[in-house]
Amino acid sequence: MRKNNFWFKQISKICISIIIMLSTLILLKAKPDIKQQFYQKVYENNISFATINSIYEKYAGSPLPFSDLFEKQTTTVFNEALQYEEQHKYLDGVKLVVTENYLVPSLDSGLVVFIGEKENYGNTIIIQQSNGIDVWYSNIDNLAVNMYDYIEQGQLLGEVISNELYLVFKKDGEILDHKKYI
Amino acid sequence: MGKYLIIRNIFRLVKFHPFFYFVIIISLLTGRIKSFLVFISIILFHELGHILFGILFKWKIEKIMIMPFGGLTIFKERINLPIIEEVIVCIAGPIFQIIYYVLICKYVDIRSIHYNLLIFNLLPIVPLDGSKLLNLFLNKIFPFKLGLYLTNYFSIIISFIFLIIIFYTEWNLILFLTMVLLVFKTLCEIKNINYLFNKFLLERYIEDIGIKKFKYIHGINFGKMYRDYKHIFIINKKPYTEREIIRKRFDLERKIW
Repeated sequence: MRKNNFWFKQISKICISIIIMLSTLILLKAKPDIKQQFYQKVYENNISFATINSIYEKYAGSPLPFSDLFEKQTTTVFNEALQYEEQHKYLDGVKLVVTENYLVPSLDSGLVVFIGEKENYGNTIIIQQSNGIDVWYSNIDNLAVNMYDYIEQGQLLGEVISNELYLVFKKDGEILDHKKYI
Repeated sequence: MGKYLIIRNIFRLVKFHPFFYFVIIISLLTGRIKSFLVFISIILFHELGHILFGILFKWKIEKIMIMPFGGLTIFKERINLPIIEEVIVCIAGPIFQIIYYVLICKYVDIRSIHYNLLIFNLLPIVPLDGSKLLNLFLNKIFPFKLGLYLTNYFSIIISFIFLIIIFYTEWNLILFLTMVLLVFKTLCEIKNINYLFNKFLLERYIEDIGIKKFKYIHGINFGKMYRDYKHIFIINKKPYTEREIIRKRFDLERKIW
């Protein structure tokens, strides 16, 4: 009885995997564009953690109550907005001419989702804001933030290399017009 | 081989509270998993302190419960242990946590989580370390049963004050659920007081607890028994040993009295 049970389990596992494989193959034959949709879902769109976080915080407080119960976390915050002298169009976004080694404040609160090199942009931070917009801050050095940190509006991100700062605004992979946001 | 077995058995004893899974899901969805991992590492180091010192005193571990406000290491041990041993095991947790913090604070920013957990854990609310220390301190100055009652009622008062503060300052769902859970635990513990007291008496009847100090009690008043004394009951100007009186108490068929 026990042996029968073992083989029954093995055969049923194999059957289920064959069913899943065949059904995906049939689906791919029937709808050729489903592959592309799947790739887009998995590789390009991402869950907006910052949006969920802002909604959760609005109704239920901090998701980690023990990080600011008796002693609050302290962060340095600038009150000034982003200041620049000129603005030019640059690739997908905008090039801002700022003062030498300008200290960049964050435009809005959000989550740091990327830190690293981007082609044609240089060293880049991507911040997922709570309104669902991804903002790229490029050509930045001496970073003051870490990966997956939550940052507040006006918090110091880093120092501009020479005097050019690149910004790109994206939502769900589409490029947005920068004039609304700066 | 023996050491390996101990480690494997400890891993088997670790259990996660259902509420803990709820907090994991929330921290995943809100993108705070990094802070949460730091939080878990602090809890595990804290528990490691209790476990290591527990093993040092050859205590048996029943289970290690991981909860979203800290861990609980539950030992399967006698009540009539030396108070000093329990105090050492109790304090070992916070000390290990502080050592862990000192080692790692250069690399990861865990300052606020560490301090908040430490303070919260030392509050006198029942399953937390603070209440254990309070209970041990009360055992020194009050009789055993009174100490138990005082600890539990004090715990309920503190948790209600805490709940009121949460309501009137900053509403927080997880903190609120935590406090409800703690109040519930305290109520369960109050139900257990009589059971614990009977265990306390039975242990004294079954085996020698290794205490040499004596105290006199006039009349049959079990409520006046202290944890770190042996007692001599004086009834009608005749002395009786503790064992005789306890034996009579548990003699349900009334063969002796």
